[in-house]
Amino acid sequence: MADVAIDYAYRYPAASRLDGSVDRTLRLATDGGPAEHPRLFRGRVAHPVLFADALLLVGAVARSRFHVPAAMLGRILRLADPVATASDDALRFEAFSSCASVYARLDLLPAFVDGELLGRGTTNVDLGGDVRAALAGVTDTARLELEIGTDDLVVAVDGARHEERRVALPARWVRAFAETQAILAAMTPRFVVDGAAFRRFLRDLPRGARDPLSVSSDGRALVLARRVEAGAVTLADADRLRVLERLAPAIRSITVYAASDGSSAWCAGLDDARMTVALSAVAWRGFSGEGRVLDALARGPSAGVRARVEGALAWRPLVTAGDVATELGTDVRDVEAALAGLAVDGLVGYDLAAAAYFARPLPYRGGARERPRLRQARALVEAGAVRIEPAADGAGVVGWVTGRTTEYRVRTGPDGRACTCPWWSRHPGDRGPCAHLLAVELVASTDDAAPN
Amino acid sequence: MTPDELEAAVLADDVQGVVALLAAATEAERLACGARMVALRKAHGEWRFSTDAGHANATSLLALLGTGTAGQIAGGRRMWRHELAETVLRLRPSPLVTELVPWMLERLGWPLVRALVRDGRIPRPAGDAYIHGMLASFVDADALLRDDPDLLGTEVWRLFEVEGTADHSLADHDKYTSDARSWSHALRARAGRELDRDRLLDASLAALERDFPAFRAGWFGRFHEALAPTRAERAERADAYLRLLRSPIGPTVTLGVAALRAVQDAGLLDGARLLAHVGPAIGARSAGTARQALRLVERAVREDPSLGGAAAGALVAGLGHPAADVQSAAIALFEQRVVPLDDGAAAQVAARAGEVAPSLRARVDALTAPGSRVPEPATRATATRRVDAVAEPVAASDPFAGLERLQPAASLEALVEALAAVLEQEGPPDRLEVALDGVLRFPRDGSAAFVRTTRAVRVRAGRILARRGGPGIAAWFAGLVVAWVDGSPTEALRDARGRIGDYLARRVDEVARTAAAGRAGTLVALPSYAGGWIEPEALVARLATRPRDDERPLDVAQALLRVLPVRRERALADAARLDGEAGDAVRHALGGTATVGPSAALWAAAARCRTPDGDDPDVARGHPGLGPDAALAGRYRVVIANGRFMRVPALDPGAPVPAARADIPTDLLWRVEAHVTGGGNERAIVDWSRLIWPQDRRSWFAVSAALLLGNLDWGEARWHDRQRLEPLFEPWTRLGSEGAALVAVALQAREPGQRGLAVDAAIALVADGRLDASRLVAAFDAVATALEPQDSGGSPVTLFRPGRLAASLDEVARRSDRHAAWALEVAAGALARMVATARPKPVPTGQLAPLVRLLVELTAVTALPVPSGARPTLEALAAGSGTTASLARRLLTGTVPS
Repeated sequence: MADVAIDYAYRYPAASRLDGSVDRTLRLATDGGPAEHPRLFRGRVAHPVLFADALLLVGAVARSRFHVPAAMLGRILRLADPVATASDDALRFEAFSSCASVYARLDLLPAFVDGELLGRGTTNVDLGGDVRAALAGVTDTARLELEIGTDDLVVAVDGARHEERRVALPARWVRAFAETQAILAAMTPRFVVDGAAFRRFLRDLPRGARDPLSVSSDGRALVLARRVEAGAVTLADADRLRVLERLAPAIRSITVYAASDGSSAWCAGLDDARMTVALSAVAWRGFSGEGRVLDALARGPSAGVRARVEGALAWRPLVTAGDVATELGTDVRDVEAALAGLAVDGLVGYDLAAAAYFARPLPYRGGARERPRLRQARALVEAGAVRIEPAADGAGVVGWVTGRTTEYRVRTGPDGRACTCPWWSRHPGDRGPCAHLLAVELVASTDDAAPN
Repeated sequence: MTPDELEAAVLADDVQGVVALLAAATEAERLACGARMVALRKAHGEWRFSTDAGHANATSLLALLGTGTAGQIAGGRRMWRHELAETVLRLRPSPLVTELVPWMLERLGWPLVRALVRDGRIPRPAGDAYIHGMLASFVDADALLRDDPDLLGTEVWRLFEVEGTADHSLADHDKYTSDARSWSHALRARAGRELDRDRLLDASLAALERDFPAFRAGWFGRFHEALAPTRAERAERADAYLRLLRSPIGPTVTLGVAALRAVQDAGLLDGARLLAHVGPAIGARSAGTARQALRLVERAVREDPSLGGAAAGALVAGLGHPAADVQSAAIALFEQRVVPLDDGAAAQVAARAGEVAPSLRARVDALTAPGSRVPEPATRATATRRVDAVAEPVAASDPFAGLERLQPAASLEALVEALAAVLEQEGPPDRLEVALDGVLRFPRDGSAAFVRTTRAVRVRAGRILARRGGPGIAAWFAGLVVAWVDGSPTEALRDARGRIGDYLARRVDEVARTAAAGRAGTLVALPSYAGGWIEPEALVARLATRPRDDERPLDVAQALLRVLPVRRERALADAARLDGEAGDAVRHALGGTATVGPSAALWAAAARCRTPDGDDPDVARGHPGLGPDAALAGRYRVVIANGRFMRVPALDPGAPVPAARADIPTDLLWRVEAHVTGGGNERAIVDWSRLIWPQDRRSWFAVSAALLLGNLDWGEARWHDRQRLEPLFEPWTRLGSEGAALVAVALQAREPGQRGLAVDAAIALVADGRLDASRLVAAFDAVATALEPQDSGGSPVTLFRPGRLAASLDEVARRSDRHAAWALEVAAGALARMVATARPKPVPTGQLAPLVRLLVELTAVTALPVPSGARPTLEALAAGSGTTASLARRLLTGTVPS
């Protein structure tokens, strides 16, 4: 089944704008979320230039494409706007590149913004060309007020009531935006260096490097190598990391996180703020289709756990799987599965620095749909295409899955898992399980659960 | 008009009749026909120029345009332009036509939409696509504005607000059209006349603030400057120029700085506002722009000393600049007290000290020390002394100690998984060998379990063979799988062009024929360890248990080329039990005595195994005339040959060259032309080729040096050449002059992956003591000397790229003190050779500055003197003028430049 696009209409009351000539107010127009045009925050920004640069970075990522598939050449790119989340612990601005390979999030911590939280929730924010141009002129010598959602937006052009822009958001892109959070949750911190070391690293980063680089740390500096090295973080299409150049002078420290599949996250410590830039394993692949969460989705939480986890998220800004499991008196794997499910449904984000999830319901409507591979696996199970037999050595299971043209052998067990299909053979494990593996695991888990 | 009447006209292919019916009908009558016309279009719609285009193609198109809703029209089949389309669309109500605008712009073209706008039939479209239409490459901007002056009111100004697309932008239009037809010319010609000049100046600056991509933004900058703003005009726009300083686009920042300088020259620049904005410009990637920005600061503070305190923060940005001269200029402003250094500023400077070039650290330290004073120029004696470990010996270790065991397939199921992976990934090389071994280890047994287990990989192999043309690992192994599972031998190989790929294909074919026969066995050449090595005793054991009828000569010869150079004595004793010519060859290869037999390929391999880099007189007597790296060792040097279209680097093997033999792989390895893969996954083929002869890399390195030298500036996208550097990392490989030549070339490669890998290799080689600086310098000399017979005409092959070499050595130097000292010696030696180079072309002195600057930094960081051999070179350079000469003089006088 074709991966259709969601015809999404951004409807802002007017364009965002930067008012004032000396002391200035950034009025960000909102669309969707807890209300049609929610008002979430009003207050003063502590570091105007830093804020402007960081917001421009987020906007740049939203407008970027680091890989253009041949089929997309010549087609007008439909671009999504950043989303903003207001909660008790931070104001967050997120964006996802068109190619789904770069994710950026700016977290403004309480000390960065002095003002009033008018509401909690997530909304789209307009960051059009005019306001971006205006942000480029912000200096630290004047006050900068920030309003996320405002009643004070005048009708902008020719009597039009709305700034309306229709975009075709590929369902794959929406899924990836959501799924990235679950991928972040699976990352582990690898090393921390100070801002000077990161600036040197950015300076040394070879331009146009096509092959993956290896990044390690000697404790003080980031060390770059061109061969894959044990313990190092893999960095493919390294030019994507240059989105951080705009902020480089203000970066105090960088914490690098990585997942086993080659994706990484670069969390820049700023004055009372953080900027996280996550890169997929390679630009052409993007985060979508990574399949890292398919196992958790296939497993699914026990009945009722998801609702209880959602409940826990509703009344506090950050939650960890361990804490929630303790509170609910349930298995932590169940909570992890529930959180993964909430992440891929676009309902939660993941904060690497806090190692915790936060409520963040994406404002896109109609994006949630079952993952194609999982759907295919369920279809195989329903069609009776899966036969399970015990492994010869007694450990794990062997499955035979009848596909369209032939039968594939699947094994799972303590030695890992494998399938003889071409897809798995091409991406053995680094893009999640294939549909045949998922199908075997679905049947095996049902068999386990079935009464004797 | 009824649907039947219109359908009849459509089917009669009566264009004028269709138009007449539509014109006479009411809109309600037209819409009533819409659904029928959609169906007709589906049945008869074809592209205009299709050979099948025929009956009712045009009439069904016009009928749908004249009756459909916007959705029906936009969803119509193969909707192309027709000369009567406009006539028909003008019959439709304005709201419907307005709704169709995006579709019309995409399918019917901008001129039609513009005509409708001009006539007031539809409102001016708000979307960017309407403006993009004016940017089509065929548009003559001047003629367009002359013929349609209404565009000057709104549309022209929208050009400054619309970002454009990959192929519709002002930059793109003007790049591919003559100046007379360009938008820049058309707008400039009307500036101050039909178009407000002030507004053009403002609009172009505003466009630069919109963070358009660099290529598209470039047009606005060039246009702004082409308007040649006066000082007064620039002064009025000083705030806009200041805002440009934060642009992420280098040329935009450069424009802003240059414009502000003009404003400052006119005495009209507000110093305080400058200092509030100038920081990012001082950190601009372009050193020239950063220096200009520092000059703006200096002048502002000199004119108004009260601004000094505000300038400190901006100057600190200069300390983090990649260019040492920008850092130096920023430091100098503090040293000269132009900008005061209070405690806060001193703390900021101290925080950035780690980013400052080594040659400047002493000055920064002096600035931030308590009771700081303006320092004297630092001499070497006062520079940071770091190099204590240069003379430390490199710990000797057994390079073979860490070899990783390679496990053969343990079961049929494991083999099938390996084969499935090989068909998709075409590697890694170890897995290819395991798969070759596996089909011999698990022969076809006709059982149901065998058929079921292998079915998926057999189906996949069949598809690969059906789809893929040409050579390649996947195709070779697909043939192997078919032969193994079906018992049908593969087709005879037709490719025999003396390429290494042919040899690899023959190896697969040889195994496939045994597998097709359903015979069990093992691969004699299966590596015992990752990287290709075979344990000598394992080789003897395999041959001892090999069936007598196992006829795979390539396998035995290949195995000999992989035998470890250690632990051969015990294996030689074991080999006494081997019989036949293969047994003789193995004993000879392991250092024993044997009578040379008739199989040339087998004995060539035995000779290369016995003394990889030496001659084997016994084999040479038995098999004369085999050529380099068969019985006799090749002795390689790079030479220049006349290629088909240009001069190309080649190898002189130091011996007569017979015709290539595809069964003697060592004879192929040194031939540059044999490394042409000719298709398939070239990277995978290069990787597998590395496993042919791990015992000796001289020919590999020499060929690789020639190949990289011929493509030093990346004229051809040969991504797989990067893999040629991998053997440099093998701890057991002695580099020799050939390996040193490869490093010397690759450190100057343009492709970042190649050059970066060469840097990593150099770091590893210095760390384990396998590449002396003197040997690398000698390699520069040898390769440069080999290129001298060329004249300077045409495009001679040249070696030296001083900027890239300096960048590479700088990266190596930063790894440790030892590396820094090594880089210093290499940089000095390479510089001397560059200056001495006259043929085929001298290296321009101006290009040497990065290398001399690197010497400055390395002498500072290591506290070592410039190598004495480089002093005459520096003296010669110092006699000239320019940056290179200045740096050379400073090096010679022993002062750290300020």
